[in-house]
Amino acid sequence: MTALKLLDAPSAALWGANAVNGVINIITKHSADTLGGYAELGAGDYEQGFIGARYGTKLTDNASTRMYIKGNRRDSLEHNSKDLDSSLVDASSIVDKSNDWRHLQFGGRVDIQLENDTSLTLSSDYYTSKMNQASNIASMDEPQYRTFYSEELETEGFNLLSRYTKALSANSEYTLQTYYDFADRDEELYHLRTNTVDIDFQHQLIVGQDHNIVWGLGYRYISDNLTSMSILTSSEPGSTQTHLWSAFVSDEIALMDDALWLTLASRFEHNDYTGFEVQPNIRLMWQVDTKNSVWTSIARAIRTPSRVETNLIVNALNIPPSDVSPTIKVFVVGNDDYESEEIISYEMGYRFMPMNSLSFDTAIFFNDYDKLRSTSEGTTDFSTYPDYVSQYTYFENQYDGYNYGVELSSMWTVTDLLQLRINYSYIHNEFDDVLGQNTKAPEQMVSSIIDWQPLTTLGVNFVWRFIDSTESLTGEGTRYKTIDSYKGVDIALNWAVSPDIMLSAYGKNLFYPAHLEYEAESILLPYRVGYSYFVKASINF
Amino acid sequence: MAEDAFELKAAFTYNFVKFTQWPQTRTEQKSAWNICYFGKQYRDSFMALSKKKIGNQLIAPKELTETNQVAQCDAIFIDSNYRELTRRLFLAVDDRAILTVSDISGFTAQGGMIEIIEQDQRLYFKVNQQVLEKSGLTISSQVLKLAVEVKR
Repeated sequence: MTALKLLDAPSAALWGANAVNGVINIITKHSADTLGGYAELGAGDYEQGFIGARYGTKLTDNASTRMYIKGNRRDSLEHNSKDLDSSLVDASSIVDKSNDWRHLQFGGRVDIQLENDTSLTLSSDYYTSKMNQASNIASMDEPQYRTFYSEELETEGFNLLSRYTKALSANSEYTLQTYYDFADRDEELYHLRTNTVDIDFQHQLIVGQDHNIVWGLGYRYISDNLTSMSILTSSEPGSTQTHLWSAFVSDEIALMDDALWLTLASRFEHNDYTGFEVQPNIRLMWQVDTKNSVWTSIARAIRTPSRVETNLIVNALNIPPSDVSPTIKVFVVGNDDYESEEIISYEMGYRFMPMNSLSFDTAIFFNDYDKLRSTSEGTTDFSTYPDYVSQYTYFENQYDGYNYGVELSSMWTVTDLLQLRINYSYIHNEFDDVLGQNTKAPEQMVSSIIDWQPLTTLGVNFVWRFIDSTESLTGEGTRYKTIDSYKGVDIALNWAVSPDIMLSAYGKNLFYPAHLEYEAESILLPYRVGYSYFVKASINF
Repeated sequence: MAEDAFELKAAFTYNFVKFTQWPQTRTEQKSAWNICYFGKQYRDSFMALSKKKIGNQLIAPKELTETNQVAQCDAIFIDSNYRELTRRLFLAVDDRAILTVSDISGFTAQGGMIEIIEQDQRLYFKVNQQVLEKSGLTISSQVLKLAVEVKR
């Protein structure tokens, strides 16, 4: 990997719908930068074993390639029945609760310089995973009217990508990228296979001294196939085809040379669910002097509906019968008219760099959310009375809300051999009601990181963090429970035995007891994260 | 090596400029040698060159961020993080008498003039004579003798 770009802000103007909370942009290294071989082998208690190898070589003066393979085996996390809703503990006792998994992945890429000004990259990856999981779904089994089961689920995926880049002049360059992606996830509840074809054209041009323009066009075709258990049915055929058309333009305007930049950007999309969508962004960046810079941004982004929200029917819950009522089957029903959720994000940041070795970043944000997912009280079907009655609730976009917060990060390079970082974030949420997301974001998070190289052959990395308490939905989405705050320490030691051989030892989540970090969907069990360690040997050849 | 490597690569670039035979039109000009570089982390290393001279002229280091700024440069060092700019850089230089130096792997094969290679904690370099000749630049034969590879 050559760069990991984290944009923790709406990035829809460039990346399209659903880049609401941010984007993780992983840029892998050019194969000419990873010539030769690398292999690693490791084992531990949670990371039970992993192996990886990579080899890169020149094919000709103008072409290079890289291949890799990696596999790992991860142990189960710890499930504690105290974390489960007490009414479900008995029913859950019969199932195997391990959630260990195995993963194998391999792939490669070829980079070819066709001309001085033209390059071509081809890449491909394949992966396969097997994971154990325990789930629970609504059923007619007394007394809980929920059934637990455990299974080994399988996922598999494959992709093929080609990227052709040609410079037209010193100020202009275009890229044409095409990829095919296949993904398959097979578990008892559903089996989803997805084929995606994506074509993306992008053109960058510098106009005059002041305009850095990027514009692009894209088309994505997704064909999927869904089969599922009877608690999950669809009003549409199991196989659907969707088309996504997009165009975007971004102009970074240098209002004052090397000091003030204004960026105007927008993306225009047409998707099959909600039609035409516009996602603009305006951003201003002011480099006050060599030590101070400030920026501000306003962006609109959307989250387009998922299949569940538009056309699936889920039997989410069965309410046991009582003296006054028969069994009630509660269905959540997708809605054709379901709209995109919307966010308008206002941000402001300040970066202070008093010395090359010291920097402080602060950002404040306010996010205004609208048309968030809600469910309506729908119709009741008495036709099956007295066996049971069916209560239908429909997805709607009735909720809204906002959050605001602050993020602080600082970095101090004390010497070439010692670097300190401290990060803090605060977020406050105000939303109408229970949201689709099970666990709320913790209000406060603190982390401090020390990178120290006491000897030329020895590196030490130390991380301490605090994560605030938060709340998670429980009792089939009817009430909140507290997830306690927690602290953790990670320590890594790297010893370069020789320039090409490295031995490492890692301890994670040390010194504090195992704890819940969050809860996923309510059909899955909660798990605790505790301390773990692993050792690793790696070699360059 | 990391931090030292910046200084060494800047020093290499300075020496390449110094041991290049420049066209008469350039040597007759009474202006500073514009040594340009891509890569903020090289700022200190290149700024340190500004105390040096080649002939009677001072060195004027300049940090670049875009390829449309290269016309003002006598030499350009482009750091390996800027590989994506090389296609446009080659079109921008376009056989002009601008010395291009980089630590990008494959730089000379793809149309650059001098490629710095880091191996076993040492720096070596390759030279592409074809590109140099087209641009009217000649590297001193003493320097060529030190190159690990010369593409003719």
